Amino acid sequence: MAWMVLEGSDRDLIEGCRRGERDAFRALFETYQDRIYSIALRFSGDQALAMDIAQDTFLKLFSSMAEFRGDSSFGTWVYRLVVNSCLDHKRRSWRLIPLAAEVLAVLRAPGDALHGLLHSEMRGRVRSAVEKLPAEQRIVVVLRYTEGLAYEEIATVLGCSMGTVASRLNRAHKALGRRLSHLKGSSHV
Amino acid sequence: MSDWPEEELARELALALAPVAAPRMLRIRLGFAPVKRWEFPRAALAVAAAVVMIIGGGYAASRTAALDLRRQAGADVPLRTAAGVPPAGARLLRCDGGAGMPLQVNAGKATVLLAHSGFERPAHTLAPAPEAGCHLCHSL
Repeated sequence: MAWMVLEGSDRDLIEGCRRGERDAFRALFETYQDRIYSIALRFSGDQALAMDIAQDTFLKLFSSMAEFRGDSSFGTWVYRLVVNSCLDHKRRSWRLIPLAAEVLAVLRAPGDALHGLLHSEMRGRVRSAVEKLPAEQRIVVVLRYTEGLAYEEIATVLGCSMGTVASRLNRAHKALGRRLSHLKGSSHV
Repeated sequence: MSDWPEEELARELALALAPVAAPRMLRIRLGFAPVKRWEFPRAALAVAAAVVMIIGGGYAASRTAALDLRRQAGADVPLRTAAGVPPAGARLLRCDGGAGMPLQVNAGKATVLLAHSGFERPAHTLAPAPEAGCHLCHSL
């Protein structure tokens, strides 16, 4: 896992952050910004909210660096912070701007516009179905498919058993399968 | 049972929930990048100034020509009084390419056009040949 590869450099970054070195904070931000934002965006489905969640996560990360005792890997600790931030924020229902952004992204995409539109529509519906999942199922789905974490890693992050993770993922799959059944086969467009 | 095969659903979820790059705004919010300030479009300002200068210069040039016309063909144009047509004086009314004189014609007033920039013979050439304007008056 990419997180594990970074453990050595993470240790230096953590020490630098604890000493209050600005460059260390910056390097930590550069390392984790995309992952934290991706989890926040896929969980919330809202760009503005994802920005808030990511900002909160980094502020918690920077301010509580001294509390990291090293019981778990630093990556797992960061995941816990972003998951907690996600669960703390209520999902916004107003989605006009993100939808507009998706449409603009399709229009800007090179190649066959219709093909791109169909794929974008498909992915938009999948994301919409994910957003309707209960929070505890949704976060498992996001950690699994956005970050590619194994069941064991998800269980460590969430502080639950692997069986719980498997159960939540299984229920999420069933719910998504039902909600997206009308799209079955259209993914091969 | 899921209505979608597990593998197909997993593939669609992986595509739909793929990671994305964090926007620059996050960097700005956390103070790792400076706020991009609005810069005055200097090129646009230069173009606008050039357009204003061209338009204004053209207008000023036309005004200058008209003033020259007035200076050259104004009150110095001699008039001969026609029988029964008292002249009211010679004064240019228009200054943007033409020249005219207000005249008293019988009981009414009339303006006689002396010259126009569209004519082959421009107005300022009337000064050396003042009869031209007089002929216009007498032809009324």
